[in-house]
Amino acid sequence: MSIKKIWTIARRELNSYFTSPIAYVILAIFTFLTGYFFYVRVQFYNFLSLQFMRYQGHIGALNINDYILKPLYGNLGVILLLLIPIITMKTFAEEKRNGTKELIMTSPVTLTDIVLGKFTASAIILIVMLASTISAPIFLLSYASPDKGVILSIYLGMFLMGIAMLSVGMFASSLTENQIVAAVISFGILLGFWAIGWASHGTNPAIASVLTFLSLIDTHFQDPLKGLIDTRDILYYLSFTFFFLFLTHRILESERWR
Amino acid sequence: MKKIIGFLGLGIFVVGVFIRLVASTWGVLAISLFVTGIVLITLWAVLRREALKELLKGRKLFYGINVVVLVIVVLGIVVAVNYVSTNYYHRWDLTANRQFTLSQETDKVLKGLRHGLKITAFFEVGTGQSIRDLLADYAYKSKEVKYEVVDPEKEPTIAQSYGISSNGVIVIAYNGKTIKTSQATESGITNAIVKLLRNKIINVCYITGHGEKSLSDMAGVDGYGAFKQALMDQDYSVKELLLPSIGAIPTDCSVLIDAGAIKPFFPNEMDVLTKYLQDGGHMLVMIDPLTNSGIIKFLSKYNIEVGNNVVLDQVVRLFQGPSLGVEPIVKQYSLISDITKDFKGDTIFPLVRTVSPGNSKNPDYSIDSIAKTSNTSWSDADLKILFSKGIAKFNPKVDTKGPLSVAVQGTLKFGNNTARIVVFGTSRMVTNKYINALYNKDLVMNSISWLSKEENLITIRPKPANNQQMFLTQSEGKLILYMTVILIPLLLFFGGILAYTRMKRL
Repeated sequence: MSIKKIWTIARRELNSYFTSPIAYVILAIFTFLTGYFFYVRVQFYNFLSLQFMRYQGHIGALNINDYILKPLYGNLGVILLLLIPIITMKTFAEEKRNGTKELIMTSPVTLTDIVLGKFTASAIILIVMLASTISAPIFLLSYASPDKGVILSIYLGMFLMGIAMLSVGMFASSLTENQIVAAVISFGILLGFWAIGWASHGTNPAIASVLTFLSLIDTHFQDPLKGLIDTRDILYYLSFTFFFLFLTHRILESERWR
Repeated sequence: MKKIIGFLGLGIFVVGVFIRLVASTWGVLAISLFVTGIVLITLWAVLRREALKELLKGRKLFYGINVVVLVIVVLGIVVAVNYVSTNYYHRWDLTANRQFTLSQETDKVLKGLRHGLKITAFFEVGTGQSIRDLLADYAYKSKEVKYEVVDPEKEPTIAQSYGISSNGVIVIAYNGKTIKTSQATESGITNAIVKLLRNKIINVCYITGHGEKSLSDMAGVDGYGAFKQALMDQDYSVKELLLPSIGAIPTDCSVLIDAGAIKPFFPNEMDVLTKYLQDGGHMLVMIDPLTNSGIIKFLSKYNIEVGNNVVLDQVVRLFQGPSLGVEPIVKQYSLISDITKDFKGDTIFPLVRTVSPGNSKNPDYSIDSIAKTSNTSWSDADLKILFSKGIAKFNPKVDTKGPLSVAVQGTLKFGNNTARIVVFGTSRMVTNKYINALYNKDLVMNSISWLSKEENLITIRPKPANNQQMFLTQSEGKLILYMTVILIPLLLFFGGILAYTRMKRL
């Protein structure tokens, strides 16, 4: 494993992302949806503030974390789930279809370099996506006083959850040479990890706690949304990412002897 | 096609196993999927038997087993790391007012545990995540705390052993005693632990018969229903005493309260109160402006001076509160008093009169002010003009400039007995309307804890999330709309397309 080689592959990959319109379209849609959700929440909050002033003391406390940040970024988490498979679908599938994979496989770079290089590139795209939503907290900081710590924890949580989703997307892309099939597989897996906790209702407590723990959004993204950084959530996302990158590595490696 | 049959079979098989695990029983659907999966996998094996034979013979089998074993080992490590992390973890609370960090009070209470404390929360699966997190914090803070979340539907025997029939009840057991609470909050749980740590029942006796505020009034703004509930939440037993009908205050009254008396006390009632204090009783008096039930004279004997005035503050008051300034906000507290030394919150004193230590030098009566209004306040003695005409003006001849004392605490020595007394210049601060405003409840509950000699449990109670409001002008709202919904996405889209076409041309 060499950092230099990983970075070279990441740059090559980034270049290919930005020479196709996909990255721009995803960025534009992501920022549009963020902007729309943000505007709707702000409008609603402004209305609630007026109501609050009118009936002071008779309605519960108003809180920017609960009324704007939590619902806004909670929605964005689900939107990431829908968009990330599109970012990662071509990671390995395209190489397979174009036949360039053999070239890479026989090049002096190791398979680990390739996996980590491509992962770094997609993580950079994720950072760009998250950075494109920064106008929302900037507006909030200008017109109100939201918890800066909560904003920080939300972005850290989004990043960790995002890289976990990217690892699933890369795994799906390593399975097939068809980009659409790769996107559908990763979408299916991510949806499964989102909804897995829902099955915990009515099942025995031990299985229920495992199913709840496995949930990608409903369990581990809730703490960062509230302003909590928890080592359990960090370890879950990092180990989840590691495991799917490891699976990706194994799948690609198996092609050498299959 | 052959390949698809294999994958399809495997997928259906996994779904069947998953449904079996979740349902905990072999239902028709789980069996059907399980069998269909096996049939499809077998069909795939038959159709691909030549390839399988080849696979089983060659080095591919070796590599295949190698990969499967490696994946299982890595998965095992990942599961183990996550399992350990659920027991040994750390969390950082980044909210401004440490909303998700256990409060000082809880810390103090948990430090007082001398035996194991078992918390059993009865919540249906999927409904108790926040309580699970909260209880984990208790266990994280004290090694004496062990907790369990039980589904009463799934484990009815455990529920029955605790006499639980409904969801959302928390049972706390300590040193052979148990207590139940349905308040699944830090405040609810800590208060329940406080109750368990007590060795005796504390009776709070509430005087009636002189137009005092009603403890049974839950709905009216002037009622004391919420105050009674707050006392009961702290496991005080609240008893009403019709003072004119009794010859002496019962000896089991740990704290005696008189709040908002309007009608005068009879001389024999005054004797009863005097006797109670002389015997070392503990009394809380809340006395409103424009009233004189005779208690003012009674208090003056103990060097407590109650002013015939109303404290006004037109600067330090609630935004949009009465402009006359009759609801001053108190921010200054005694730093040496056991009631207020850890107290940091603001309190609101609606329609309050001054209450301060008198000039007597009697060393047996030690009276100290515990709460003072701001420098911008003054005591208005011209009550007629104030209430009939609604005019408030500082008159240097009769009025006094702030800061003004509006609450005192005192210890009174009578031979071998020591009485405790706390006096507030208003009874309105804990009415249903004001009890939850700012930190009113905390100040009065701290006073009662001190009176009942439980000052070791006093600190600020758990606080809710910050209250914030946001008001946007028309143009600010439009700016957000145009920038976030239209301009930024369009810039990214067209900028991107421009960059893309340029790169393509190159």
